[in-house]
This record gives sequence, structure tokens and C-alpha cells, in this order.
Amino acid sequence: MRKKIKYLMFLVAFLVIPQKANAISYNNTPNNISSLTNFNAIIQSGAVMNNPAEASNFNIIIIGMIVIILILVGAAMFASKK
Amino acid sequence: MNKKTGMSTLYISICVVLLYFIWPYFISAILSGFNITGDVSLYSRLIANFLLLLLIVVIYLESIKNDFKKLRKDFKKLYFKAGKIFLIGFILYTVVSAVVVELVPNGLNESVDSLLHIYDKTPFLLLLSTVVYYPIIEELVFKKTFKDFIKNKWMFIIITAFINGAFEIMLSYTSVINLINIIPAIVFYGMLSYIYYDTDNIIVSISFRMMYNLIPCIGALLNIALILF
Repeated sequence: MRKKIKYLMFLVAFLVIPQKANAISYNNTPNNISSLTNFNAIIQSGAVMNNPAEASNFNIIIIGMIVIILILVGAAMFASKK
Repeated sequence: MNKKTGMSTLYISICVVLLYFIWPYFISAILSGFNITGDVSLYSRLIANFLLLLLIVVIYLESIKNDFKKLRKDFKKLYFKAGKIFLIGFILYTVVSAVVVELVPNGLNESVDSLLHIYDKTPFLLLLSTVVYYPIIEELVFKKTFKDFIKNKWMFIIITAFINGAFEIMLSYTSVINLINIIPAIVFYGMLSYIYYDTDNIIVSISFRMMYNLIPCIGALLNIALILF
């Protein structure tokens, strides 16, 4: 029973804390609070968001692709020599 | 790995990378050709994203199947090992991120903002994208493609973490100051690369990323719900 209560408390904390932090950080008042309490700014789930409409993104993509391919080819050549 | 297998693996890896980066432009051209905009465009892009995911999963199907088999055999051992790395990495990430936020309060991670902005009216799509689509595709493209060629542990961790972190921040930044977020992003993706290298199982790193993404995603969804109701 104690174990169950502990799990339940953990779950509540897990759900409530991010919600409270988000409510603070997305209420257009990020500058009024200490940034350390801004949980949302610290714990983030980012992703590679490529918007094809952005012209500058295309340059980054081209350069990035060339770099990745060069690394892959270089690493493959190095691995085959070994 | 012999020379012939090595070359074919290299071609596959390059194809996966090209496919991943060219796909959004291809879909965008089709959608603008049919003059599709608004919510329909959002749903179409999501379907196209999942189609791309399916393609890449099919390319790596054999390896993914093997990883699932290994996971079934050593489930506890692998997750215990990965859990320890995740905990240490997560603490490190939180500390680095907090320091960055403290030093540069205006240095926002715009990738998160654009995610929330795109999906603010369709929270279910936000959940689907951040918890299912991005963890699988990014782990496969940014980690799996490199694993066969980079044998050195730290070289693999640094290169894959840097590429993933740099792409995440550089594709969405509007102010140079926001580039500071590359540092915590590298720490975060480095932790996932470490998990993948140590367990040699992509499913473990994917599942840890899915679990992690669920935390801020639930927060964001609750926040959207608060704003809407």
C-alpha cells in the first residue's frame, strides 16, 4: 500500500510540476521570474525542425549534408584500412 | 565488416541521410503544387513524415529486428545499464541547461517554441510527433547511420551528439544568442549516444528518448489545455 502511495505521489509530481512551470513560462512573463525556476526552459524536448519555406535552412541543410557524407565516407575509409 | 559489405552499408547510410533531408522539400513541393495549406497541410506533412519513418525503418528492418531479439533476451540488463547512464546524463544535462539559462536568460531554444507553435491547435499531433516520430527517426538517422563506421566510443558520442544538437538549434534559431543552446543539446544527445554505444541496441536509446520527451510534452499539453479551457 505504501509503495502504491509512493508511486502515486511520484506520478502526481511528474505531471503537476511541468504543468506549473509551463503555466509560468508561457504566460508571457518569463522575464519576471527567476530563470532557474523556469523548468520549461531547462527540461526541453527539442527536435530537428526543418521548415522548407525558410531559405536559410536550405543552406544549413546543404552544408550539413555534405559534412555528414564526408564524415561517413572518411570513417568508412578509415574503418576499411584498419 | 569486409570491403563489399562496408561499401553497401555506406551507400545505405548516405541514402538514409539524403532521404531524411530532401524529403521535407519534396513534400513541400507536392503540397504547394496542389495548393494545400492550413490544417490539411499540417496533417499531410505528418502523414508524409510517418511515411518517411516507415521507409527508414524498412531500410534498417533487419537490424531493428535483431535489436528487438536482443532486448527480449537481456531486457533487465540493458535497461538497468541504460538507466544508470540516463540518470547521470540527465543530471548533467539539467545542470548545464540551468547554467545556460542562468547566464543567458534570453537565449531561447526556438526549436521547442516552433514545435509548440505548429501544434498548439492540434495537441494530439504534438504528442505523436515528439513521442513517436522524432525519437525514432532522429535516433536512426543521426546515430544508427554512424554506428557501423565510427568504432571509437568517444568519437562516436561526440560526432553524433554534435550533429544532432547543431541541426536542432541551427535550423530554428533567429538570434545568434540562441545558438548557446547547442551546448545543453549536445550533452543531451551525447547521453543518448552513450546509451546506444554501450548497449549496442537502438531500441533502448529510442525508448529512453520517447520516455524523456513524454515529460515536457505532457507539460505542454496541460498548458495548452489550460489556455484553451
